[in-house]
Amino acid sequence: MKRAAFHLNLLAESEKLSSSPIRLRVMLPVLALLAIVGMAVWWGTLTTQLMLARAKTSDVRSELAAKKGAHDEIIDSMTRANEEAAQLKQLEFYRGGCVRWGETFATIAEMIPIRMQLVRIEIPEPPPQILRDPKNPKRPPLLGPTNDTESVSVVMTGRAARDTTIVSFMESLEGAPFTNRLSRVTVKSVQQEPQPQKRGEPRLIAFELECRAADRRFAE
Amino acid sequence: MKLQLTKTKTIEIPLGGKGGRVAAADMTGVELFGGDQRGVPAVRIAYRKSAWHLLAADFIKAPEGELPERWEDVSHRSTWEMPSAFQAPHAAIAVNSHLAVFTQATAETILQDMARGVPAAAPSAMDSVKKRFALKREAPRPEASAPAPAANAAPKQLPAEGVPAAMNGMRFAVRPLAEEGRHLEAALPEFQTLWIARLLQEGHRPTASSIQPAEAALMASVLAQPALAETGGTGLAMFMLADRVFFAGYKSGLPVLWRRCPVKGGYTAMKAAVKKGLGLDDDMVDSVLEDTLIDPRSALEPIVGPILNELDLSRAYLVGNHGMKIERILLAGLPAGGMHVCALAHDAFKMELVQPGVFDGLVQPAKGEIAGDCAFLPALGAALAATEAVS
Repeated sequence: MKRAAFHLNLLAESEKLSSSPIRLRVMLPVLALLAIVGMAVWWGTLTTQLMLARAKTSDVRSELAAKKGAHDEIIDSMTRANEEAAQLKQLEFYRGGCVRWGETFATIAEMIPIRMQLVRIEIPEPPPQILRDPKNPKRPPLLGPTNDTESVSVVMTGRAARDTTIVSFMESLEGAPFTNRLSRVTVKSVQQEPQPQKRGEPRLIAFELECRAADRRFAE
Repeated sequence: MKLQLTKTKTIEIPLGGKGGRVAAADMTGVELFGGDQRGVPAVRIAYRKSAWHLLAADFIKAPEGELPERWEDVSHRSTWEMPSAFQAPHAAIAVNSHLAVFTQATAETILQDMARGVPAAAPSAMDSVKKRFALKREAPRPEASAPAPAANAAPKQLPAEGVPAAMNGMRFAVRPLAEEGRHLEAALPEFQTLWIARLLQEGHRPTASSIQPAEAALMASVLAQPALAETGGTGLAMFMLADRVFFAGYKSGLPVLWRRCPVKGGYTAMKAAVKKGLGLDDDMVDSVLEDTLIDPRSALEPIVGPILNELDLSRAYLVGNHGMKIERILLAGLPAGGMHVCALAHDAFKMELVQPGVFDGLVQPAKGEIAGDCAFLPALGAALAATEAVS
């Protein structure tokens, strides 16, 4: 049987009510209202948080401004302290790089043969170092060396009656007493001095020797 | 899905799948204002395991108040709650109203009815009192719910099939008959429809999903009958009520005839005839009509004979005009005396009348069979018709 053909329903679709306790017609506005209230609360919370954050930022900024002078002073002091510590460290390096020549010179004095005279012993200055920081030229120049080691040489100037004496002296300088002190003795120059005015005096030979001394090591 | 934004604005969101319409497989049918002293006949049916089951049938407490006769009475809102046994999701309500219309008619007649609008209601008791004592109100009080009087609008076309349409204060629904050019027309005043629609509260089971004139529900009350199903939905039924008789024709599962018997009569007239003819008390009439020892046919014949004559005319119309083959005629609505009517029909017109049980075709509840009472016919019919989407 086609039941629809017998159903003469006078109730319009729009008038049919739902028997479900959850009514969409009621729930939708309620949910919409809840959503609006939720959004308002969320917006209010955000606004409050923003205001609090702004107030806190302002406080922090004023606090920073108040502390800026003291902070700069602290930074300056720390910078100065660091620089002075660096200088102290450089000075410590110099202390480590200090060469004690006394003993060497005393040994040389003992080793000088007869008929030889040392006129001068010279330790040449090391080449000038770039002590200014190229990146920050305003910084004060560094006090210490730029390398860990520094080569040192000793130039001896003297006179001798014979050339064999000079050779003997050079061999002495490269001998055991000067181990780790002097090495690689080379003749820088040698020449006959002018004829002596007094008769009977021997004609002397002027020489100039260069010895390589132990490197200066700059370390603590 | 429909969303009612305001009282007048509704938006519809089409959903996929079944086109937004869901079959009601659990339905409570009730007949309102039938005048039964026992209460409101209510029937609950449900479609389970490919069969219709009868879950409950009883007389329940009637809603408070009376069916409004005017727009002014609609403001008196009444609420109604059903017993738990009848709390299906949906309710189909069959309404008895003298302002209701259920008839078969041509399109022109229906359009004329629609143009006519609400029929003139009988004056209320208060109106008659006013006339009697010449009471006059100084100025008529405007009612918010009453529509402003206006000239009746002329309808241009019939409402769509099965879709209710409001016109001139009346609610109309139309279904085509199996005969071309003829329709079944149902109508009820708008204010009565609205009042009934709000009887059952939203959010509580059940809510109204169908409102039908009681006669329309009566016509659908035999849809589950096996006797009708056996003939492929083709047959003739006679509904003998207390004071009126209807003939309904069915052709291949479609309605083809609905006719009110022009002869006045019915069960009340039958009882009166038996009482008068056999000289019985009121208490004895029912038992005599059911008794096989006493033959009341001689007393019944003057009442039933003309009715059967009209039934024979209807049968001849269906056989002649529609080529229907009618072997048996269903007799429904008669509380007692059915066998005598069947015997009279057989003797006088050679018609075979069968009187099936009210709930034949429905699976009875396991806990106990529910006795069929003719008073349940409109309620059952309303429920059966309202479950149109479930086969």
